[in-house]
Amino acid sequence: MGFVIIHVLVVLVSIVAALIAVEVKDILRALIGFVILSISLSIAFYLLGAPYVSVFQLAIYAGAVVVLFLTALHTMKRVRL
Amino acid sequence: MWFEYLVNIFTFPGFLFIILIAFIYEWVDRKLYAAFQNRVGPWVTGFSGFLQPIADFIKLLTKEDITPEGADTLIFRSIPVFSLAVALLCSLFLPISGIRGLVSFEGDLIVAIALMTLLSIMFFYAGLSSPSRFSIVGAERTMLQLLSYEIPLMLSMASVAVSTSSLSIMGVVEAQRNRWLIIGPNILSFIVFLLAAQAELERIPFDIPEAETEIVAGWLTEFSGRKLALLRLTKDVELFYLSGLSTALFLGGPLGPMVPGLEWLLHPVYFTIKSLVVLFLLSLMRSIFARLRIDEAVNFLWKYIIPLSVLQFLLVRVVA
Repeated sequence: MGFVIIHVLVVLVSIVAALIAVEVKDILRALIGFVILSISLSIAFYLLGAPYVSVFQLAIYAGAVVVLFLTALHTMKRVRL
Repeated sequence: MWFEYLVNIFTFPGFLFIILIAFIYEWVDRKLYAAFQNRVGPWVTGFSGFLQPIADFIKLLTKEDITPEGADTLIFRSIPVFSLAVALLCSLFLPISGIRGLVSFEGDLIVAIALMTLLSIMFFYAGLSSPSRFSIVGAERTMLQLLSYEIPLMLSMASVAVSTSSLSIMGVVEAQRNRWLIIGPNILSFIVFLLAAQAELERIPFDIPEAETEIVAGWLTEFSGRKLALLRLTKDVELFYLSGLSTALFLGGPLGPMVPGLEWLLHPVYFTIKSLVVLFLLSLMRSIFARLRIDEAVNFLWKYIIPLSVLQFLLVRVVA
């Protein structure tokens, strides 16, 4: 039962974070939503018994991809979509 | 069982211990840095200035806490808290009171480094959310530097994982029971790891994001009062974390000659002594170099350190 509750919570958080990432006007905040989405996805992978997938999800999405987005971001002015 | 675990997390190998030892490490670092420069360093508060970092922290807590006009208030206010939380979470991975850290699972070697990247991203947000141009320049430099030092850091960790055939910190420490990893071809990855750690900590020669003489304090410029106190504590915890991580990966962590029945005391003592040696190396590096320019640093890291780390990875792969 506890497992199901935690899993549903993680899925809810990831849905909310995905909505933030898509809908928020400010790019910086949208990126925060993306980070939260990838962290909660990696927790979901871990709960489903795939530790390596979750670890690499965390390292590559929350690490590398966000860093690439940020470096792309700092070459332009802060804009609101 | 659960209660005991919670007590552990909040007191001994957990938060309280980590915060206290982070203050002590700052003191040791300042004393060493001063000694290398023929200065005295902090010496008024407590024995030989021992309490100076704590006094600084308390002083900053009582100062006025300003959120500058034009700042992105939500991000600006929450960054200090979240960055301290991430730094403390990282430190729970360290095997202080035994070969097993408080948080330990398969693959935590990669999570430990991914969380460090998250910390750098938070510093970028801290700079970008404040209105000052010094902060924005500092934030951009943080990101450029992160792009250059992350690959060597990951490759040195990868060579550790290959030579011990384990992806958890516990497995790496366990594999060093007979021979520390630094003895052998992994000495190169130790050097690469220390350089990357210096860049991660934003200390000389890689203190470009907070270069005092150019951009005041970089992304830290607009923070004051309690926020600055928390961010400085984050830096201290990060210093402890990286020297502890290199201890765990290359110097055998808390292992050493054991007296039966005294493991609870000897493990933390060995761990602290070894990580103080790493801290000595980091302080030495800080005092014998000068600051690089950002283009020089990116050039140096991409042209020399990344090929060196690829080379050490191949070397480890061939030998081990």
